[in-house]
Amino acid sequence: MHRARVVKLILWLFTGLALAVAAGRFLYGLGATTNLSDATPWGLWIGFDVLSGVALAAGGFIVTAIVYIFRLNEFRAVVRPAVLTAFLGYLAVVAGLVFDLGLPWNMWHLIIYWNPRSPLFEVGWCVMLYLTVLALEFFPVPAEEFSALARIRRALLKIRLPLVITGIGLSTLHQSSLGSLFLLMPYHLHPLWYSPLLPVNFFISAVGLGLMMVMFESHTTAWLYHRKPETALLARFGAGARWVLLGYLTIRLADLAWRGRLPLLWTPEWQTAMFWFEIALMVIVPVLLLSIPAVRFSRTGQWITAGLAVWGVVVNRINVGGFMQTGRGYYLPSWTELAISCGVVSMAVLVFMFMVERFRIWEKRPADPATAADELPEADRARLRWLGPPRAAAEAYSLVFILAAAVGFALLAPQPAESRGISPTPVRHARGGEELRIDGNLDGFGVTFRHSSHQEVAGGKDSCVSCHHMNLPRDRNTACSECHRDMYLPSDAFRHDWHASARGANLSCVDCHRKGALRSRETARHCNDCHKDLIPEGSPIEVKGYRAVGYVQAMHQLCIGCHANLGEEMTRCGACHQGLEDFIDLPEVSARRLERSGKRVVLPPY
Amino acid sequence: MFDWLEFGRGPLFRFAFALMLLGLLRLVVLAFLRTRNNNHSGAEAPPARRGPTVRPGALWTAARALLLTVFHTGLIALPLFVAAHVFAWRRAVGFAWFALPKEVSDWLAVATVAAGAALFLMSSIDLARGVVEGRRPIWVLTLLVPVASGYLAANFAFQPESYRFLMLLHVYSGNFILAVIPFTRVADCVLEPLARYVVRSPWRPLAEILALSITYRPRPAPVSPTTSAEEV
Repeated sequence: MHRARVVKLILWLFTGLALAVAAGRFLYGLGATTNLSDATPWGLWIGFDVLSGVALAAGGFIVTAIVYIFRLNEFRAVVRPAVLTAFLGYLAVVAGLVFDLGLPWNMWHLIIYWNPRSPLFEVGWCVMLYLTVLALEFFPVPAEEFSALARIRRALLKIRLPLVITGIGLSTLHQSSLGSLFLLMPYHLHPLWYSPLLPVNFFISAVGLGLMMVMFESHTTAWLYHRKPETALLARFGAGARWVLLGYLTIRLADLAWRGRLPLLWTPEWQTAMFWFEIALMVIVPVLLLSIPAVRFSRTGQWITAGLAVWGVVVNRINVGGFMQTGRGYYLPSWTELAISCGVVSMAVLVFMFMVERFRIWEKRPADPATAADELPEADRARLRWLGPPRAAAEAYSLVFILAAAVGFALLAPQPAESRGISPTPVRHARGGEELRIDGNLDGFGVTFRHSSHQEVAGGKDSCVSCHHMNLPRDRNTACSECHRDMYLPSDAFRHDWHASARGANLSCVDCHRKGALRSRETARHCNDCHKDLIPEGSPIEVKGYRAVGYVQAMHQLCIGCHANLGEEMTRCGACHQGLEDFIDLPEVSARRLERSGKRVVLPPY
Repeated sequence: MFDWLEFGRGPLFRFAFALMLLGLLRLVVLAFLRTRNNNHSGAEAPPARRGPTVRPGALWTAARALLLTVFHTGLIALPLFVAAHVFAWRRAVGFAWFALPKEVSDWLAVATVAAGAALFLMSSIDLARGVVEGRRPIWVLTLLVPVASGYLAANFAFQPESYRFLMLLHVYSGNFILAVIPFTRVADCVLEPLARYVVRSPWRPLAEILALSITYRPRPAPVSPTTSAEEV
C-alpha cells in the first residue's frame, strides 16, 4: 500500500475516535470529557489546538510577505502550500475553540455584543478576520478548476496585495494578543514563562516557527507524494529562522535576568526541566543544526531540524496554555482531550492532502497575475495513478473511521447529561472576638481580622456600621455568616420559612401580605415596619434586597474595597489567606483540608 | 459472569450500536458516491424489493407474507419497546419513550420466534426445490437467539445462575447482531423498509441511493498499476 494511503488510514482512525469524543463533549460537557477544573480551566485544547495552531499558521503571512511585498519571486513555489497550511491551521483553531467553549450557535454574539476591553475580544475578531482573509487569499486556487468562478478569481487576484497586507497586520496582532491573554495571570503562570514580554515572545517565536513549519510541511509532503522538495530554497528559510530563534532566546534570557528569575533555571523542579526541554527543542538544537552547512542543505537535516523546532514551539504553547500553572496541583490531559486534538489535526491534514491531490497547490513555474491574470500556473500535481482507485480507498477509509468511532463510543463512560453546578457549601462562623479567625469553609487557610486596629483606622466605635451594614433584630454587630450563609451561592437573608414557621416567628400570611392580594414581595410589608433596628444608620453599604451574595464574594468586596491601595499585593491569595495552624488539630478541619487537597484546590504558596 | 454481563451491557453495547448506525450510514454514503461517480440513474438502480418471487400457491404466499410481517415487527419493536430495553435506553442516553405492556411484549416475542422458525423451515423447503437462490436462512435462526434468550430470561429463569447465563447469551448475541448488521445481508432489515418509505415521498433521489446501498457491497479493488515512485 502506498505511504500516502497508510497515513490517510491512520488519520481517518484518529478522526473517527475524535467523532465519538466530540459527541460526548457536546452531550455531557467538559466535566465528563476533560481533566479541566475550575482551578485549571484551560488545558490541552487551548495550548495545542488554539495557541499552537495559530503559531503553526504563521508561515502564511511570512511567505506571502516575502513573495508579494518584498517581491522575492524565487520563493513563489512555497506560497500556495504555506497559505493552505495557514488556512487549515486557523480552521483547526476554530475547531479547538468550539470544543473548548461549546455553544457554537452563540458564536455570532462576538460580532454583535462588543467588549473591547477584553483580550479575548481581540483574539476572537482577529481569528474571524484573518480566517476570512486567508479564505480569500486561497480561493483563487480551487477556482482555477471551475470556469464559472473565473471572474471571482480574477477579482480576488487584483486585490491580492491589500489582502496580504491586511493579513500581515491581523496576524501580527493576533500572535501577540494571544501572549497578552496570559498577562492577566501573573501568579498563575510559572515565573519561568510569565513575563511582561509575553506578547513579544509569542510573536517572535511565531515568526521563527512559521519559517520552520513551511520547511517541515514541504519535506513531509515531498516524502508522502514522492516529489522533489525545494531544498535549496528552504535552506535560505533555515538561515533566516536561525537568527530569529537566536533573537528569541536572547530576549527570553535577558528578560529572566532583568526580572531576577535566572536562579530558577537551576532549581531542581520539574518545571525547570520542562523549560530546558522546551528551549533545547525549540531553539538550541535547531540553531546548532542549522549552523552546520551540511545539515542546512540536506533534505533529512532540514526535515529533522524543522520537526524539532515545530515541536518545541508546540511544547512552549502547551506549557503556557495550561501545564505550567502554579499552586493548583497538576493537570494532565485525559485521553479524550488527546483524541480531540489528534482528530482536529488529522482532519486538517486530510483536507490538506485532498487539496494537493485535487488542485494545483505546487507551482512549477510562477504565473504573473499582474500581467496575465487568466494564465494558470503550471502545476507539479501529484500523479495519483499509484494511489489506487478512489472507490477502494473510500471503502477502506470509511471502514477504519467507523471502527474507530465505535471504539470511541465504547470507551466513553456514560455520564449524566446535565451540569452538576456548584454544590452548597455552608459557611462556618468566624471564631474569636477582638481577633477574628475567618475561615468559612474550614479548609485551614483563613484570614485574621483585628477589630481594634480596624476601628482605629475607620473612626472609632461608631465605625462598626462600615462593615455591619445589616443586623438581626435587637442586635448591633451580627456576624456576616448569619446572612451570607453559603460560601459561593446566594442566600435568602430574609428567611421566609423561619418567619412562617411555628418554631420561628410564627406569623400568618396576612401579618405581612395584604389580605386578598397576590402574595408576592411587592404586596408584603417592609421589614423596617417591624424591625426598626435592622439596618443601622450611616452604613455606607446600601441594602438593595434580601438576597445575600455568597460569603466569599461578600468578604472579598468588603476587604478589597478598603485595601485596594495595596495594589498588586492584593492579587496574591497568600497576602491575606494564611494557614491557621492553631485550628489544625480539629478533626473536622483536617478532614476538610484532605478533601479539598484531593480536589486540587489549594492556595498558592506565596 | 456479572462483570462480563456489565461489559456486554455497557462498552460492548455502545460499540455495537455505534458500529451499526455508522456502518449503515457508510453504506448509504458509499452508494451515493457510486451513483455520483458512475452517473448512476434511478432507472439503473437495482430494485429495492428482492426475495422469493415464485410461489407454489396463493395460500403459501399469504402465509409467508403474514410470517414475514410478524417476524419483522418483532425484530423492530422488541429492541425498542420492551420495558427493560426502554429503561436501558433511559439510563444510557437520558431520555426514553413508551414501553409495551409485558404481556404484549411476551406474546410478540413468542410470535417472533415462531414466525422465524416457520420462515426458516419454509426457506429450507424453497431451497430444496431450488425456487429461491442465494438465501441464507441460517441468519433467521441467528436473529432469533437474542429474542428467545431474552424471553426465557424474563419468564423462565428462576435461579440467579440460569438468569445470568441467559442474559449473557441475550446481550452478547444481540450485540453480535448489531455489530454485523452493516457488513451482512441483515442490513436489508433496516435499509429496505427505509427505502420503501422514502420512495413514496418526494425524496426520490434519496430512495434510489438507499435502494442501491442495499445491494452495495465493498468489492476487492482491481490491481493497481505497478508504477514505481521513481517513474512518477
